Amino acid sequence: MGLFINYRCKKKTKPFLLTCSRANITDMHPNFQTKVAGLVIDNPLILASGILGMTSSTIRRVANAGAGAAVTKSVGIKARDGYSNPSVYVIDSYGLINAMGLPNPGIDEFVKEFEGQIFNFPVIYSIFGSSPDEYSKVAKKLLALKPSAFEINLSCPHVKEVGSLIGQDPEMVYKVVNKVKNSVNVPVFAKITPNVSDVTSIAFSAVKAGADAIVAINTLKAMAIDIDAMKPILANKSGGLSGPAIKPVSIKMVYDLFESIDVPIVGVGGILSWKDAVEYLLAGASAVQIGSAIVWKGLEVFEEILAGLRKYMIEKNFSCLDEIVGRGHK
Amino acid sequence: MTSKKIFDPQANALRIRKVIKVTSYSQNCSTLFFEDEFVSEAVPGQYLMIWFVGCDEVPMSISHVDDGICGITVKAVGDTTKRLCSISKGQSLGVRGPYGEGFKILGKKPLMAAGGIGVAGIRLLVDKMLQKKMFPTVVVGARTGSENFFHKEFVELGKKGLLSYFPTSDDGTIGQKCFASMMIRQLVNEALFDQIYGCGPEKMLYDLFDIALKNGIRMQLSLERYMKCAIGICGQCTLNGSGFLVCRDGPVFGGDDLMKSSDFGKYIRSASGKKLSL
Repeated sequence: MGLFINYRCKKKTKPFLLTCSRANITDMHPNFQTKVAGLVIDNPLILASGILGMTSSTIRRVANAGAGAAVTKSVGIKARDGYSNPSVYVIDSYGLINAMGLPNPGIDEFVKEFEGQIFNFPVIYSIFGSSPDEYSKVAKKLLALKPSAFEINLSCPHVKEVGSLIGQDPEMVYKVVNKVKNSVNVPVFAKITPNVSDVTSIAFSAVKAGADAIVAINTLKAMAIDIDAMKPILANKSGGLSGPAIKPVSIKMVYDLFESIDVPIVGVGGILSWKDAVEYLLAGASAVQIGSAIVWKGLEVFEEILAGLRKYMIEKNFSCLDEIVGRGHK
Repeated sequence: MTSKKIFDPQANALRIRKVIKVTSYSQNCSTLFFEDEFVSEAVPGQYLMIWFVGCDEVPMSISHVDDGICGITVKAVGDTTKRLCSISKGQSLGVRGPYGEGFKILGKKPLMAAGGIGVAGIRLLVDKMLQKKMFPTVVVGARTGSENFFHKEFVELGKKGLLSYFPTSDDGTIGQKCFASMMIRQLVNEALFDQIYGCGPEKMLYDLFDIALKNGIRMQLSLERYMKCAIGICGQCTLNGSGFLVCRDGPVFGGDDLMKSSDFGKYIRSASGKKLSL
């Protein structure tokens, strides 16, 4: 399908951020505000999906910790218990493998949980399904919560093709993103899986289908085997790797995507320090997501990164994020 | 808070440990002893993630720590705990942890209540208090006498004058026929206490919360929730209102924290995260 192969059509010329005005900014207070597909975020740090975002209370706690926005845990049509334990395994200080199995209470219970809750920052609702229709049904029900945006979790099993993920098939990615985009009136982000031979072609399908931003990347397929038990540790045997171990992989993908797609990129994977966040911005991410870092650093990681970013921007004489995003390409 | 304690990757790493001794109290309850350098440093009230190798992994209280030898007391209630109860000496289990915020030994006149298998967590706390030459008052409630697993041990300690022990049972087969919380209410009316500790069913804990509040006594209560990650990221064990995570901010909470948690005493969550009434 020509639609999906001719993706290297755009060479980005400028980032997609707010135009910053130096006149309004003092050197002591560089402007952290960023804009992703029309969504204005006070700072570029977003809580990643799957981490804590199951209830309004934890999301509020993340807001108080300094995050600019949060993505909820992925919600689907029906309740799922997820996989048995061990479902998460931390490897030293560099990686976390999880096979949660998309536990969620189902869209109706989820809406009840969040109904009437007001947040002081943008909340992005992550959705999953096994077909374009399922994704769209979930998204429509979530509109009752007035979402700031949707994040489409494309790392879900394909209902018709057992074993493969929706996000591995450019055609399915197109159908899912297109269906959701046509069902809602808020920005739609597509979170892509790195477990493909060509991430850019998948991202291109999502953009063609109407994705307003690309979130890169989801976890990498991984396994840990205990040498004494002589068995895989996770109950599901394999899972997805996140944390510092995947950062260089993700940086390369964000860098490549910035060269070839024409929508903002949200970088995610292994951000533990402000230096990691800056690296993503330089690679072309307009915002970044933080998840696994909370294991090692607690919720204070948001304030820590913002403090480092502030210092970096002052030292380098940057007055707003717009000046950093994609600079690594110059 | 998720940052109260720095994450320790070494204690978090999975260790396969050989069970060196098993003490059985009944067909459905045993203490499994093993050696582990990290668990032997545990604070009472902290918990472990115990992996029945190749099967499920469940959170378990630490009941014994003595000279490098640690014990978990397991009551067979589900598939995994049944399998753990069938473990014999020489077999292995997977251990991660200790995790969470445990009990802090505060005050001079401690009163503690255990309900059911909650006695496992309280046992280690009693041990530590005795080491500090404190004189705790211990109430242990069980459905029936045979489920008060440390009864003999507490009776012996009582005889030695090291603690005051008040067993209760739902059927009257042991001690007073009442709930542990009723005994606590009675004791609080009779004597002065400056700290209430609790571990057991949430309805009992909620009663303790009420008693402690009304009598102006500080409290530390150990909560139980369905846990997955144990490291404060999956959000499965969230307490609404406060947003506290039982796995990392708890499992032991003080009265102020519990007051902010609207789920306490009312709701738990299923494996899917669905809210269920207690």
